[in-house]
Amino acid sequence: MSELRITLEGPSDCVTIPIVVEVLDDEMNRHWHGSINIGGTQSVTVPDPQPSDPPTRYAVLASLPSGQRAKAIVTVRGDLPVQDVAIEVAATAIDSEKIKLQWAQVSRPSTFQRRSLQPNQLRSIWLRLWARRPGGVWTVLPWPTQQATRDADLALVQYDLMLGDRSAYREYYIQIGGPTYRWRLIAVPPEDILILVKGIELPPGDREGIPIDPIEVSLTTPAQHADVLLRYMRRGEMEEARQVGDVIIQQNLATRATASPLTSIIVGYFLLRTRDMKRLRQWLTRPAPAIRQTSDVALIDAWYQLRARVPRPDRAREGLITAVSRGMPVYTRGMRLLLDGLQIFDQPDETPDPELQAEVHSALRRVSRYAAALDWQAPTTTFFAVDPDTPTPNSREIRLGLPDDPAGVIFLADASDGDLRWKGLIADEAPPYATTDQLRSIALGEAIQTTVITAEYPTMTHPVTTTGAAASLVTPAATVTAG
Amino acid sequence: MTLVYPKDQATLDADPKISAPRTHVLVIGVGRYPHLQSGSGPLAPDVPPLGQLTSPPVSARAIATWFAGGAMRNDSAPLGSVEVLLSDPLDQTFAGAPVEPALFVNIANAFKRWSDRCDLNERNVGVFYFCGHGLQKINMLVLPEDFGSVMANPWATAIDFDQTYKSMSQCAAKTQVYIVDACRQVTSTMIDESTVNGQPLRRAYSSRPKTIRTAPKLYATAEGLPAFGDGGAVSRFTKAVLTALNGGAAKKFNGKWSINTDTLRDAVRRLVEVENQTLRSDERQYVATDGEEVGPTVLHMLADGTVPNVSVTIGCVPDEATPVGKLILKGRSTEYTRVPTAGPWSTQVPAGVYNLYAEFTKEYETPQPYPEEWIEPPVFPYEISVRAKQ
Repeated sequence: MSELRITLEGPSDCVTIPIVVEVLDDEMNRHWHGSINIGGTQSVTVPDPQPSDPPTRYAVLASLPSGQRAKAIVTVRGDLPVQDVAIEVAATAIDSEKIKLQWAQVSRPSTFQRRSLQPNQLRSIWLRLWARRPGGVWTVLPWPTQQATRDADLALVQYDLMLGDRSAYREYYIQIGGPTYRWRLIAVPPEDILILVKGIELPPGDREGIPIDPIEVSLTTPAQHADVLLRYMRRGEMEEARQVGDVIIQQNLATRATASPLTSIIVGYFLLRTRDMKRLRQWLTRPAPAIRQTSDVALIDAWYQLRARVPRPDRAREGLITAVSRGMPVYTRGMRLLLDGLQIFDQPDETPDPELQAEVHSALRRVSRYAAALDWQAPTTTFFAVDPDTPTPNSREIRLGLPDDPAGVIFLADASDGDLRWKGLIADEAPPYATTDQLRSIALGEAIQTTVITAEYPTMTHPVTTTGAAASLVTPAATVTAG
Repeated sequence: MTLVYPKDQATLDADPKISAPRTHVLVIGVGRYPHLQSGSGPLAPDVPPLGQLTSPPVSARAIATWFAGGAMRNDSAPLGSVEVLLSDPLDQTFAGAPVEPALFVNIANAFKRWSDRCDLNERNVGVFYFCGHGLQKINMLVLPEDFGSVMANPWATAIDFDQTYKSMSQCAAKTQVYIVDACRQVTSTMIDESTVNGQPLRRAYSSRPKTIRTAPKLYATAEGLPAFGDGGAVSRFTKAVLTALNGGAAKKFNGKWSINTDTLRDAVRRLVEVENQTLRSDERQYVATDGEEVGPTVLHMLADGTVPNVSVTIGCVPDEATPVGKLILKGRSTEYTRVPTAGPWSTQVPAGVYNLYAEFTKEYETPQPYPEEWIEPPVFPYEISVRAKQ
């Protein structure tokens, strides 16, 4: 037997991320299948060829979460007991300025495709951050000021939001809209997240005007384990998902107290989908503190009760109602489970108590409103909406353009004079308190070195214009009254 | 009659091993919709603006023929039964015998028989296939022939696929495969309507134990999107399913090529993805998969000695070199070539290890050593890097 020592080489911030690898001989037989961490080495034993046979060629194939494959070929003659095989999982190097995008090389290389956009394609597209305390009302927070990573050639903007330490809030949505971008809300977990916004390039010959929805938005977390598992699952590559899932579940269960909320949530859904009831029970016994009060945990628990060897319908029903009372799940798959579960109980023989039946029915109606406005393709819950309480399922009601209130709003890129005026950063009669470039930076939510005094600027309501201190997050910029 | 394998109910009833592990298949193809546009019956008010279809009966026949015609080979769960319901305006027969139309009640009865059979052994494999109109506002609805026949509520005869799927967790069969070749769009009338609810084909009960099952759902398209089929021909998605079953989903384990629930799902998705590359963006289709997944189960084994074919598409980089190069796929014992021709080379070759290169009379050359590739099903797109001759 010979030993192949397989090493996966990749970006430095991706080490410990498991990638699925298989070893095939030149008759296409699979000799080994498993996961290897980026930066790690795995020994695989393969048979030597018979002395009378030619050497055997082996392909070592890595299935990347992006759907691409990386390959190395090795010849086994029988005269070398150990052979080293290295596979490069991220072929292209990126410059250090965009260092935070290293993981995207492995998980979504299309991020690095150059794109040429229509003039003004990104103009006036805006973002704002909604948050809610447990049981509270939805509030627009000032945008956490930062220097977004921008690359004009890639038509890419990346925001880093550090939501993990804002313990007062438990639920967040990013809302994005624009002149031709339909307003939508994207659920984000209470942790540090990266938002990638990339312009869409129109095919040649179809380049008149700005298209509807001229950008694509994706969300990831520095917890790349979650991303890799999610991407395999989303692509329907369950064989790969199971391989890496096993490693990720073990890590997650061992470090629950400190684990990333999104990773924990995805692990919970994965355990449910693969019917790994033993480990799911373990997961439910003590979920990560940051997700304990989420809708996701309540509904996963409800489905655990339904799928138990002896189902516990009462607890399942209660769990589903609790899940809805906590808001919508972060992960889109949760919406399907919530609907499916509530539909079971929305029948008189399943819920004979009229009061309970009314509760189930009301919860189902509420979820259905969101489901009808949902973008089912998005991995995390994303729906067309005016605000988190007002999903807009009807295409005629989906909003375009600017919100009524500029509070908490930042622009993706290239704020126009009209945008600056709308935000109150330019007033016809007011003297300039900052240079135009500085005002544009403020409109983009970026930190600037000068001090702009909001108190002296009557039309300005947005606290972000104070030197960009993220501490201003404690001050809501606007609220909606519905609960 | 809906049973097409074995030849009749008496034969099925007489099978002494009917309760042994078997694969049971239910195939439904609906093209005729009397209560939709251009149909022969009255049009109910507020029905979605859908019309007649010609691809679903053809697609359903192709799937049923694959199973009932003897192509399927699975020693762990040999073929047990195939039931077919067709609503075909041109031909209401299968293999020369008449079959029942795909009316709601007929589908419900056939589903009951199928699920009862699946229930006989936990090692059974159940295959459910539907091709016809589909809609999705919240739950996935598939439409039988008589959709819209209840004038006061057209949804009374729509089938709620999601609830039906859920109810089958009460069936003993630990492997269930659901293939739904239908659109999943929502119409403007549905958006405004609050009573868009279909009927499940079986009830789900919260208190009944659920089977721990591998039950992948393969949808022709993602939520909110259409699925496509050429008129009178097998649909794009079903074609991919058949290609996958014919070896496109095969993987070699212990010297044998076999297809399991994981490889089937993966192959169908990749086959459709590759076809998308030659289509306009509004004609592209995105296969969606979901469902409970305990682990892979074998569905079909290729006959010993059979090597599955792979669809390869080969061109050169730079593009300008493709039409002037002789493209070569050199396997261990066979060589495949294409003379210089415009456009990429699309062909089928048996799975295996090949060297890929191009030969030119002038201008370009392929750097040596020639690339060596493990060409596995279902698809293999490749670009040969060439350079200008010095």
